Amino acid sequence: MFFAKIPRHTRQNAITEGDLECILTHNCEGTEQLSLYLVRYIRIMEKFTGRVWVLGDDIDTDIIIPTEYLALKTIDDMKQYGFSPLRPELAGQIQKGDIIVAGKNFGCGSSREQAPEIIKALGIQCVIAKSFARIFFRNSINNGLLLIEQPDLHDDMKEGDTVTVVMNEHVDYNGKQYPIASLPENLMSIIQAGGLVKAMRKLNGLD
Amino acid sequence: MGMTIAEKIIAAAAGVDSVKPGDIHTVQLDRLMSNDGTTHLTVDMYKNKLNHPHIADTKKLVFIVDHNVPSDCPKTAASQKKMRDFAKENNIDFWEGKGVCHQVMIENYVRPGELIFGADSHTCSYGALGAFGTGVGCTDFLYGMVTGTSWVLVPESVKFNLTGKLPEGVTARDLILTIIGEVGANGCNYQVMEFTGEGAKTLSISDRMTLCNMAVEAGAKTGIFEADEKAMEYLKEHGREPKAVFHSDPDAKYIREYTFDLSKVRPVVAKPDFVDNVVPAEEACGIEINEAFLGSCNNGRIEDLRVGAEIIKGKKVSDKVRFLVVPASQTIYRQALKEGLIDIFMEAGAIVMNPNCSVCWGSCQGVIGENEVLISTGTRNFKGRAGHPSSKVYLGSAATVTASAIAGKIALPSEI
Repeated sequence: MFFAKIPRHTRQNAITEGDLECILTHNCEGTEQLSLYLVRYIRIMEKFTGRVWVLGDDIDTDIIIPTEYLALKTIDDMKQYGFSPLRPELAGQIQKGDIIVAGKNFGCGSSREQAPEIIKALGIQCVIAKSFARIFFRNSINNGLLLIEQPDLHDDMKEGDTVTVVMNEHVDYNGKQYPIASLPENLMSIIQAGGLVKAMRKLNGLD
Repeated sequence: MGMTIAEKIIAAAAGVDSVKPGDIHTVQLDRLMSNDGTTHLTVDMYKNKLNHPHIADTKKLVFIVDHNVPSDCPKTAASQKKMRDFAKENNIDFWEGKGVCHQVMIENYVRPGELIFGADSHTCSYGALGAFGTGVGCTDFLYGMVTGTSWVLVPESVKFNLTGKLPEGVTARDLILTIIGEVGANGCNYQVMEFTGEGAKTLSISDRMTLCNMAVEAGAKTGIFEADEKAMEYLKEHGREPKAVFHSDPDAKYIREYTFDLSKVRPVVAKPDFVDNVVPAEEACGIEINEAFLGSCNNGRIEDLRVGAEIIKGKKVSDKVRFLVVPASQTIYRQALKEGLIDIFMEAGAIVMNPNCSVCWGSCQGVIGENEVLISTGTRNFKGRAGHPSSKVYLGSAATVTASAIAGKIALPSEI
């Protein structure tokens, strides 16, 4: 999965959301290549704890935000309807810092980017699922919503309990550790500081 | 090592000799399509989030209004105006009311060998002509629009070896639902579904679109066919040349292979609320419906309208049912007029609508109410997809949908 390749530490000072940033990627032959990337920050802490809401398999984008609310003006207007076809009361119950634990294929369906935006706007700090649908995954990265793949936690998880995520290592729940993928820096590491970013912006005529 | 069609398209777009699954490449995009579902968001980001925005190549962009066309409320009118004005200011190809975006793209733009991003999940349809189309969100779209490039993680390919020929009365729609029922709604997550074999050759371009279009419902990044003589003929008819025609190498690597004998496929229905909840159509027969929908980028082509018209000719739509017939493009609509199909549908009591996404995305027209049941040739049957959260959507072929509209309950043409 792609998320395993997000750099371990995204720098939070040099650039701001919406900037075009240069990233260095290494393909499997070890060849380096430069890419520009639109930054939407994923703020990753080393360790965090949150109260859990449990959802099932195949939570689709129409459940996350039904089509009829997409015409509302802002994400803040829409977020109260998040997950409403499944659990109309859920959006009102979620508090900042909560975590969603779900089954397989979370985020399947439409490419609507409002889906990860709404989950983030509700205050969810990460979604832990057995697997994620690919467009949703990409959209989440672009919108700074942290996703973690974990095959077993969902089956053991009880709603309302808390879990602790130790980034790159495991999720702690009920005295048990559930391993999660590390985020290898050798696959994609962001080049330090604004110098090169500025240089690349100039190269592309964006500054 | 050999490469698949999808890998060859990515390699060409990345300007390298070869790629393999897991590689990340920066690619040049051949085209970018965006519709009224999210273009207003892209325009907002373009204007407000970038310091000095510009467009890499306006000729690569296509904007299509199809999701709520004509606009149905001041809010959609405003977002469409934003899209229309931006297209005009920047000299971007702009289509409004001419058809569902993927149908418009196939009829007018898509060429074999191209790599196309669309801000719509069903962009995977373009594999019908041997192109690599994939759906992205509006941030990815914006990035592609500004730089002309994007990054892709090279996906693994899954081979679907098709043998035999579809029996009379069984459609490509039944085939793709059968395949998704077998592999599951995330059975090909982040992978490419490559359709090949003698059976693939028997399928029309319209059939191929039906298959590729729903690749995303199995989680796939795209679905793809080799561009063969049929594809070349289609291109010629539409006045286009291929960018490049790729074939999968004999030693290309596939993560999995499936074989489907087309002659064994039977009419099927996907029951609520998941596309992979597929059963033989007979098992769903008898379920009462309130609405039937024949249309969408999946099944609104002339071939589908012919199937429906043949079944409903001389019969009447049940008085318990609204039967919506929505040609996927104006080209199709006009062809149907010429063939007298629209007359047949209207005579039977159907509501024939202008080309748009209609009830398939649950916001245009034909939205269903509390506890109502829809049988649809659309793309999805998620909970609440077509309207009220308590409503239900069944997915079936043009034949099953039309027969159901007549019967007032899910039915096969043989029962009519």
